[in-house]
Amino acid sequence: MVYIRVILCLDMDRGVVVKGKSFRELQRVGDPVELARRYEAEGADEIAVLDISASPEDREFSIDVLRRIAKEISIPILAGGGVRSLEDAEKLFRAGADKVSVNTHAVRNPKLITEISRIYGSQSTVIAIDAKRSGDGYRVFISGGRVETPLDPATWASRAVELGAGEVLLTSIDADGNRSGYDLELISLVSRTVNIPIIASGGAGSPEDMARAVGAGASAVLAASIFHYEIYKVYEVKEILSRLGVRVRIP
Amino acid sequence: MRIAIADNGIGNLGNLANYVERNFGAKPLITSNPMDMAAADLLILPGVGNFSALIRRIEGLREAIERLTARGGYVLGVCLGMQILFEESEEGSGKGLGVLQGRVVRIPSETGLRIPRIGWAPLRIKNPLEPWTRLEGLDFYYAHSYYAKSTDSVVGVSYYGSLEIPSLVVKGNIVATQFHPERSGVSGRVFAGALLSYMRG
Repeated sequence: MVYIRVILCLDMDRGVVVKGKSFRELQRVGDPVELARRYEAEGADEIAVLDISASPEDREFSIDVLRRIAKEISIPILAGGGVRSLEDAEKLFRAGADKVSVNTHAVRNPKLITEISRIYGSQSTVIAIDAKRSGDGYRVFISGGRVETPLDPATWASRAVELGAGEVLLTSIDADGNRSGYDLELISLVSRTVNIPIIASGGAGSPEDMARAVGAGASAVLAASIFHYEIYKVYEVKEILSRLGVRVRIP
Repeated sequence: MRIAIADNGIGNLGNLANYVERNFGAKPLITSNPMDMAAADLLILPGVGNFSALIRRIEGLREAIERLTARGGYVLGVCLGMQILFEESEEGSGKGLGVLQGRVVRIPSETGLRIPRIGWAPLRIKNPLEPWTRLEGLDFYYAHSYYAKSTDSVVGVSYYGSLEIPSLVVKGNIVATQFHPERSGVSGRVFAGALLSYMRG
């Protein structure tokens, strides 16, 4: 087995960690290097560093912050935000990312997934999907949740797998930052469709929510607010998860 | 101690280099020159990329390894760097270095397991050789779709479902890990200590 991973998410906006609700109302949380170090010490299994304003503002990822985080920690790093080309992905890998996620520009140019995975392997190529309820289904949104696409998340995920993606970072825009639970229906929909690991993201309010996401098919649970606002420490979450029967790494 | 990291040409060796500096007290030389590799006390074969691409990129690697081990130097293969030490692989065109016996195969999909296998798992020591016994039960980080199906000098394994995955192989001066010690937190530090004491004999 591998343990269910608890992934700490640092949403970056111009070098500082921010957090919002449904991708809006961003508030400053703190220094990324300090937070990454603290979360590793608390028992995080992985750190996600996502430059959330890179794509909507058509900027490149802030590489320097990533480099500083990678130097400080010795757990895996997933990095993403604004990756438009193989060269952009290369920069993130060079700066210390173990995995790179693509989102907006993979929708615009699906070949990007293949280009990255052919060189770095599918285990390092993550398809990030931001989904929102629309009518009786879901739609994929890009550009930091600002632009709706005609794609449905399960179909897009399985297309991404064919193209070489090795993991899905699946974020519910509706649930993001609300701490009222992950969108279990969304997780279950995508996890039934593809056979690669799924990182559930958006809505974590408690360890119970995380256990439910795992029940719906997630291999990893990502959270930000509950840790940034110190509602829980990472080790507290893991103790509770473990009591709920979810196998997690207790360092 | 002279430590060399074989340059895979895709520029993601920073974490490995940091790990070496932090745990072995030496700044590694990142090189694709077989002469430099053969002259090292420890040559590390890095862990990300694609099987045949990595073999093609590092020409003269087999000779470098032979000369290095003949001089008493050590090789550490990490993840893909472990897999290329075997005879052949189902990934890409397939020919490996043949330093270790066995084949590299894809994790079977009929197991219902998600592929790639990404995450942390405890290491189980199968062959209680010193100093590796100190790694028993420690959690290491894995990220792979293929694994070395082998019984050649397997010291430690980890599991994915009921699939037993050779995860630590030690054969003379060759040490290979399916896990990433450089991304495994405190366990990675313990691994470095064990490798150092193994090299000191």
